[in-house]
Amino acid sequence: MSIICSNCLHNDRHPFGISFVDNICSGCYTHQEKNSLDWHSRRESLFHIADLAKKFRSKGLTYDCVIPVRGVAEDYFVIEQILSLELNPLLVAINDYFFNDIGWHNLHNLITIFDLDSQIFSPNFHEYRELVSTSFRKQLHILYPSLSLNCSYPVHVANERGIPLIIWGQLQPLEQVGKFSHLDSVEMTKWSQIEHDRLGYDIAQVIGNGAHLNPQHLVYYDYPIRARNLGSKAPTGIYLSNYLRWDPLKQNNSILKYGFKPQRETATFDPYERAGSSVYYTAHEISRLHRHGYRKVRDHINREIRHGRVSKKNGENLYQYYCTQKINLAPFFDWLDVSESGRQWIFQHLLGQHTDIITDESDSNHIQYSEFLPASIKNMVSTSFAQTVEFVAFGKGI
Amino acid sequence: MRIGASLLLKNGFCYQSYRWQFLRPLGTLQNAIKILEERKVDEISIIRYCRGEDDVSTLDHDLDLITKIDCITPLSFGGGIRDVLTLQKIHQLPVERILLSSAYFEKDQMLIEKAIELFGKQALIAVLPYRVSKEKFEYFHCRLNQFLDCDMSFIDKHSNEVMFYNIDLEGCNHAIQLEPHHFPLPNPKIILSGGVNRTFIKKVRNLDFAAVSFDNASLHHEFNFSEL
Repeated sequence: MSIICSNCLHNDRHPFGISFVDNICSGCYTHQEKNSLDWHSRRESLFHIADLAKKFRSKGLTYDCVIPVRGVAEDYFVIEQILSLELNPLLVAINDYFFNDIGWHNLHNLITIFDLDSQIFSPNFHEYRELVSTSFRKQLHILYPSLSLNCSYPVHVANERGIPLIIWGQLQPLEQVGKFSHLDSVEMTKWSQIEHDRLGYDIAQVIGNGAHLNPQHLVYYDYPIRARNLGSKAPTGIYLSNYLRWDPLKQNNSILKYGFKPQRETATFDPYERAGSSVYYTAHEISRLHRHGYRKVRDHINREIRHGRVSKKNGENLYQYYCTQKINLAPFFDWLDVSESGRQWIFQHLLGQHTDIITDESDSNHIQYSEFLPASIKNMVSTSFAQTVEFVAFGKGI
Repeated sequence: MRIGASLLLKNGFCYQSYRWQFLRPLGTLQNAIKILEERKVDEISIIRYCRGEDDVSTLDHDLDLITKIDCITPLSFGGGIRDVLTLQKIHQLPVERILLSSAYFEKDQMLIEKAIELFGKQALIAVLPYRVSKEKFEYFHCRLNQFLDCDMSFIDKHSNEVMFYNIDLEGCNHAIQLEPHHFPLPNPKIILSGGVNRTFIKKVRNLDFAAVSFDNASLHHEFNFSEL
């Protein structure tokens, strides 16, 4: 029998794992830690880490940290915080070929507005698309290659350039399901990347046999060997959410002043998280629903319940509303070059139980908010834009 | 001094335990073992979470999981070993050492002697979850789910090593406060666990303990065990 948290909407089925005490899930239990932590001293710890990193700059290094970015709202907030520490970061981004016009705008705007050096890696498109096809076929996960690159490539860059620090935004397993205590001060590890971002597999296991790919060409999809051998010179990865009281919606709303464009979605009320993606709330959403049994908006609703902006009752109604929102897979299938018979096979054999929410139409211009969305949240999400061009291979200019 | 790591197994999944009161999910057993091996840990203890009576089907499922583990690092296994049949099942597994707890509290001579017969006395580790209250050690009997006294001379005689598992500091980043003659057995017989971190390793390195075992923190940070 499934256990449901008495505070939020999580049940005992979550990809990160979840536990319960007195019917409260570990996510809600851990969120309560935020009320008792000494955030001032945690911020002091961050200053100390920044000071250590700056010492490398004094030895002739140009950058003292790497910030992995996607051009999403969280990146703007992270950079704002890092610059306040007087660090000199190198921004590292991956072109996963899923950016839309909003995504490219936000990424280039990020680099321009903060006037920072950046490195954007575009993997070989044919190999990348073959990986997407393989991971979709084997794990029903279209973002596995993108996640692998986004996790590993910044570590490669930091490794190769001798940059001592990698700064990530939120530690998702802690924020979503309380997988760790804030007091653990969990850092980036290869284990964490495999366990939380890569479904427990490394790239060689995903390829297996059947994919027309040479593993020697996929080095950047995997954690670098030198970092694996560890030792004192391997880069350290930290999560800003361990040092700052993390409130994503409030933070993301605060960075609109930098010209960030939130993306209007039918699948959620949150226009900030993963804004700029052509697939996150469409093809990825349906594959996620199939694998884990719930839609992404549930994570958003739980987050707002924990921050006291939505009641659980309203949250349940909100979730029911968003569960009926339809998803258009046609653009993704076009990108993947899936034939009509292939699409029919997928609908019949892989996604058969979800055909009631699959549509051929996209209409992000006429999104209505659910009546159950409180005014306090509506005020923070009212600014948003509809994508006009999706699957932009490479965008330029802002 | 060996440096190992403990993994808590419950219903086929690894968990982290905090101060003996709260569990958080950790991840799959194979992933955790694979990473600990890459980090050159000396040994891995897989401990089944087992308070009160155990469930046979759960035990069999966990044993099945162990048979599929890909691991060359020495493994210890325990939690819920309460009869000879279980010992015989474990005897088929790629496990070097056996962790027993309730059997030592209950002075289950028959079970312990059978374990010695199957695995050898060098493979037996007595696990004593403990806390210090008013400067006195209190030991937790897992099967009865309560604190009880135990016969230390019996444990000393019938085990090769004894794991003292600090339940107050379990899952915390604190170093165990350690004084000479702190424990009721000689240091070379003792494995320390519960709250172990890298700072603690430095403190006890020269105190001649048999081993230390990280609990939750082994996977929270990237470090190489052989460099500790």
